[in-house]
Amino acid sequence: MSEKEIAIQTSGLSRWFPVENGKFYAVKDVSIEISKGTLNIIKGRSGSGKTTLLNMLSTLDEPSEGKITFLGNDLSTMPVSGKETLRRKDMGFVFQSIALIPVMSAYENVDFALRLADYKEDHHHRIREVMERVGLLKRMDHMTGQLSGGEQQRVAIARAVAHHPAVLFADEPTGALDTASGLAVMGLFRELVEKEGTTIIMTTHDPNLMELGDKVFEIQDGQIL
Amino acid sequence: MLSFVFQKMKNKKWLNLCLAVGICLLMAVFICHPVLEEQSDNRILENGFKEYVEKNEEFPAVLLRSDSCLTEDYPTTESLLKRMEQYEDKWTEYVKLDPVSSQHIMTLSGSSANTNFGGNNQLYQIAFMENMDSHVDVVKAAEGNIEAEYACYISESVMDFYGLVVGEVITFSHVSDDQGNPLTLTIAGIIREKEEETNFWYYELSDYEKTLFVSQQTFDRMLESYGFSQISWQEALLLDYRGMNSDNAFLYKSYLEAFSQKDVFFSTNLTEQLEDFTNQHDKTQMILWVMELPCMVLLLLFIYMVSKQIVELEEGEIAVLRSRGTTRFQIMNLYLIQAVLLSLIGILAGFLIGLKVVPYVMIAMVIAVIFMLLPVWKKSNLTIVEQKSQNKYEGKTPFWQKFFLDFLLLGVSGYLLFNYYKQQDELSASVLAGESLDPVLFLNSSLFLFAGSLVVIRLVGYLLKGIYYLGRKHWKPGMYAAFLQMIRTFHKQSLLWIFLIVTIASGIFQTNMAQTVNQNTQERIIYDVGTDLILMERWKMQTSKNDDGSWAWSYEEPSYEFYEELEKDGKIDSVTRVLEDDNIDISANGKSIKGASLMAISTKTFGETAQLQDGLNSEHWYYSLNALATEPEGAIISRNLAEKMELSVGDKLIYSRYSPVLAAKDQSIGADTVKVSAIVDAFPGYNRYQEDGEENYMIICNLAAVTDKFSMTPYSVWVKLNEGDSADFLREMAEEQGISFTSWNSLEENLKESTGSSMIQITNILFQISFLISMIICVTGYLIYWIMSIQSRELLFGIYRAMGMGIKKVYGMVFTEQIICFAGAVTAGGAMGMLASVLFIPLLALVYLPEKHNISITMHFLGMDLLQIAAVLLVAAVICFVVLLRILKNMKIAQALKMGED
Repeated sequence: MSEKEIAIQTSGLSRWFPVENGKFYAVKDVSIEISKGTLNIIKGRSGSGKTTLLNMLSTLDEPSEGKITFLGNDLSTMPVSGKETLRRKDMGFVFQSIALIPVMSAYENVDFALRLADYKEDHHHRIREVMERVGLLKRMDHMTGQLSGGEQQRVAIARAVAHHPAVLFADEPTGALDTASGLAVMGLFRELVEKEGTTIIMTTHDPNLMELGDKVFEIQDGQIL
Repeated sequence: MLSFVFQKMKNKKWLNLCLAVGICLLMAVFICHPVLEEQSDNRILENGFKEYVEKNEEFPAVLLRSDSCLTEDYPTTESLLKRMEQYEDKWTEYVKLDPVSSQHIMTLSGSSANTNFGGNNQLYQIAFMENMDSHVDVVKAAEGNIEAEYACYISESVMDFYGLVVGEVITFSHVSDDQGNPLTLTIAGIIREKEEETNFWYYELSDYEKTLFVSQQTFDRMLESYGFSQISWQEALLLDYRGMNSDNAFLYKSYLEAFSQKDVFFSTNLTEQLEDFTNQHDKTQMILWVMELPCMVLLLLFIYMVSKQIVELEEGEIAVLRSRGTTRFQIMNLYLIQAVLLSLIGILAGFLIGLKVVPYVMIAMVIAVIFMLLPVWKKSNLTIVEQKSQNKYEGKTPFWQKFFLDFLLLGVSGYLLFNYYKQQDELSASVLAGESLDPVLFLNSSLFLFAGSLVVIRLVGYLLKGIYYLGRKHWKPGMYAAFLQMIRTFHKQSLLWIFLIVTIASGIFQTNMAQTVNQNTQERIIYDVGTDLILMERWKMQTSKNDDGSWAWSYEEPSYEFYEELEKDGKIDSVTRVLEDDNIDISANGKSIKGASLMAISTKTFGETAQLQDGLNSEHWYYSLNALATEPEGAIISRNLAEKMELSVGDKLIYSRYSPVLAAKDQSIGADTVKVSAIVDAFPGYNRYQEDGEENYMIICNLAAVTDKFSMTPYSVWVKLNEGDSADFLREMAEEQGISFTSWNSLEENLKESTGSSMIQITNILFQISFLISMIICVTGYLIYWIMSIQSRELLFGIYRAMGMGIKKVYGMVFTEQIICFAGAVTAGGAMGMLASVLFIPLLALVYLPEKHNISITMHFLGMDLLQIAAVLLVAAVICFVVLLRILKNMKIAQALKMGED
C-alpha cells in the first residue's frame, strides 16, 4: 500500500499506567495501518483497551511509547496547537456518550463544528445537507434534549462529518442504541465511506456489526490479535 | 437514616457549608432585633431624660402627691411625715428605682395678716419643709437673738414681693389661740437655696410665693395651740432614673398609670416621658423591622438558591429514590433532617448569646427550613423517567416574565412613590408630631429595587439575544458557544442575577442613604451652631423700682479679658461678642412684626469667628458683613423679613426692644432706626424656621450701635478654636479662674450627640450589618454559582476540547460569560441603586430630618463604600476565574468524556 493511501499508521504503540508493582498496559505494542476511505472496526470486550487506542489515534490521549503517523504527520513531534487544528479540521468525533452540546439545538451543534473547523462555504446549506443525510432535516431546530437516543447519535454523526473530516472516530457509536438504530448508524457510516470517501475508525463490542466493516482489529488485553 | 443524611451532607460539604453560613447570617439578623431593640430603648430613655432636664430644667423622675388632711387624724408633723413615707414605700415597692431624695412640705393656710412694712391684709401661708435647714443659706439673719415664740424664714422673692424685712412681725388676726391671742410670727432671716450638687430642691423656694417657713417644732406647736383644722401637704420623691431600662420601662409605666388612676392626688412627670418613650419605641421597632426585612429577604433568597443548587445536583438520586417507591413525604423528611442539622449550629449560638434571643432564633430556623425545603418539594415529585425527559435548556419563560409581574410590581412601587411625594408636607408634619411611621414608605424602596431588578433582568435577556442575533453570522466558536450558553441558561441564572442586582443595588442605596442622612445632619448642626463654641457667663443684674412704677436695671458685664488673652496667646483662633435678643418688634412701611430676633455683632471679629456653608446666599456672606461694617446704623436683614415688609437695601426700619426685667418684660426700653445694608438667606446663628415650622425674622446690627442705644445686655461669646482642638481645655482653664458658664454650646459635642441619636444610630448599625451581610452572601453566592456551574459543565468542556477547541479559547469563552454576568450585574445593580437613591432618598431623608431648615436636604453619593462593593465583587470574580482555570487545567479530555458515559 502506498503512503498516500494510508490514513493512520502506528508502530509499537503502548499506553501504560504506573501501578504498585510496575506498569499496567492498557494498550501494548500496537502496530497497525488504516487505509483511507475504509470502515475500520476495533473490536474487543470491555476493558480490552479499544477506547484507549482510539483516544491515542485521535490525539485525545498521549501514547507512553511508540509512534503514530496521521495523514503523513508524525504526532509525537506535533505541538498541542497542531493537534488541536487536526481535531478541528481533519477529524470528526462520535462518542459513546453522544456528547452533544445541550445548550444548542441540533442545527447549532452542527454549526458549531463548522465554525470550529473554519468551514468556508455556506454553513446553512451544508447543515441542511448533512441533516438530510442523517434523516433529521425536519427536526434540526429541536433542542437535543427533545430528541431520542438514536436521533441524538445521528445529530452527533452529522456534526462529526459536516466539515468533511478525513477521518471519523467513533467510540461505541451504537452502544447506547437499540439494534435497529444501531444498524441505521452503521448504514450511515457505510454511505459516508462510499459517497464521501471518509475514513472511519470505530470501536464496538457487538459481534453482529463486524461484517459491516472493511477491516476488523480484534484487541484483547491491550494487544491486537 | 441519619448516617445517610450525614453522608449526603459530606458529599456536598462546600454547598452545605454555604447553606449553614446563610442560616447563621439569617439568625444573626433575627438576633440583632432584640439586641438592637434593647440598645435603642435604653438610648431613647437616656436621651429622653436628658432632653427633659434640658427643656424643663427639673429632675426627670419625680413622683408627687399633693393632698390635705385633718389635724384630728394627723395631729403632729411626725404622724403626717410617716404617712407620706408610707406612700413612698408603696410606690417603690412596685417601681423599683432607688430613691435619690425626697421632699416633704406641709402648709397651713394663715389667711390674711398685717405687717409693719409689708402692708396689711396680705395673704400668707405657713409651711414646714423637712430637712430644709441643711439645704439653705441664710442670706440675712436678724441681728442678735430674736426673742419671738414663732420665728419664721422667708425667701428672697417673698421679701421682694411684699417688701418685708428681717425682724418684722407678721400678725394673723384671724388665727388665735385659746386665750384669743392672734398668731404672730417674726421674720428671723432671709433664706436662699444652697448652691450644691444635691437633688433636694424639686420644689424651689420661689415656688412658695406667700410662704413663711417655720421649724418642725414651731409648726407642731402652732398645730397644738391654734386650732388649725386642716394641713395641706406635698411630697416629691425623686427616683434614680438610671435604673430605668428596656426591661422594666413598660412595666413601670403600667404601674405608674395604675397609681394615677387609683389616686387622684398622685402625679408624676415620668408618665409623659414614658409615653414619649413608647412612641419612639414603636417608631424604632418599625424602622428596625423595615430595615431588617430586605436583608432577610436577601438571605432567604440566598438560602433558597443554595438549596436549589444542592437539590439540582441530587436530582438524580431523588428520582431514583422515588422510582424505588420512596414516598414524597420520606424524601422531604430526609431533607428536613438535613435542614435541621444545619440550623443547629445557629441555635447553639443563640443559646450562648442569651435566652432572650432564643425565640427569634427559632423563628429564623423555621423560616430557613421552609426555604430550604421549597426546592425539594418541587423536585421530589419526579420519577427517574420524568427527570430524564425534562429538558433543561428549552428556555422556558419564568412565570413572572410571562405574567409581566416585574412591570406590575414596578408600577405599584412607582404609584406609591408618586403619592408619597404628593403628601411630602404632611409626611414631615407627621414625623415632627411624633406619629409612627408608615412602613410602606420604607418597604416601597425595597419593592422598587426588587421589581426594578426583575425588569432589568428581562431587559438583559433581550439584550443578550439581540447581540447574539446581530452577530450570529460572524461569531467565532468561543463567542458562539458563550452566547448560546448564556441565552439558554438565562432562566436558570436569573436567580443569581436577581440576587446580584438586588444586593449591589441595595448596598449602593443604603450607602447613599446613610451618607445623605449623616452628612445633612452634620451640615445642619454646623450651620445651627455657627462656630466652634458659644458660651455665656453668669451676668449679674441690678434692678430697682422707680417711683413711677417702672423698673431700672443694669448689668454687670463679666470680664472679656480671659478670651482676649486666649486669643492673644494663640490658644484659640478667634473670639467675638454676639448679643442676641429674641423678642424685638420691627416696623417699616406701615407693617410690623412682633417676636423677631436681633443679633448684634462686631463685624470684623464675627467674620473671623463664625462660619457659614458656601452657596447658601447668592453671594459670599462676607459681602453683607462688609456692608454692615461701613454703615454703623445699618442692619443685615433676613430675606423673609425683607419680603414680608417689602424692604430692600437702603430702606429704613425701626426696631424696639423690651425690658430684661422679668417683672417688666412688657415694657419697651426704646427703639432705633436702622438702614438695610444687606439681605441674606442664611447667616451664622440664624435659623429661618422655628421648631414648629414657623418663620423666624432676624436683623443683624452693629454691636456698638446697639449697646449705645440700649446699654449693655448679656451677650454670648463665640469662639473659633484652633484646628483640631477640643473645647474641653477652655472649660478647664475657665474653671481654674473661677469662671462658670450659664450656657455652653459646643459644635463638637453637638456633632457627637447627633450620631448618638437612637434613630440615626440604629440606621447606621443596620446599614453596616446589612452591607456586610450583603457582601458576604453576594460573594459566596457568586462563587458557588460559578464553581458549580463550571463543575457541572466539565463534560461540555471535554467535548469542546475534543472537538479541537484550544484551551485558551475555552478560557476565553468562560471569561466572556463571567465578564458579561459580572459587568452586567454590577452595571445594572449600580444603575438601580442610583435610580432608587435619586427617587427615594429625598423622601426617606424627611423621616430623619423632618424639620424645615435653611439647608434643604441635599443628596450625598459615592462614598468609599461604593468602591468597597466594587472591590469585593472584583475579588470574587478573580477568585472564580482562578478556580475555573484550575478546574480546566486539571481536566483530562478523555476523562471528561468518560464521565459523560457514566
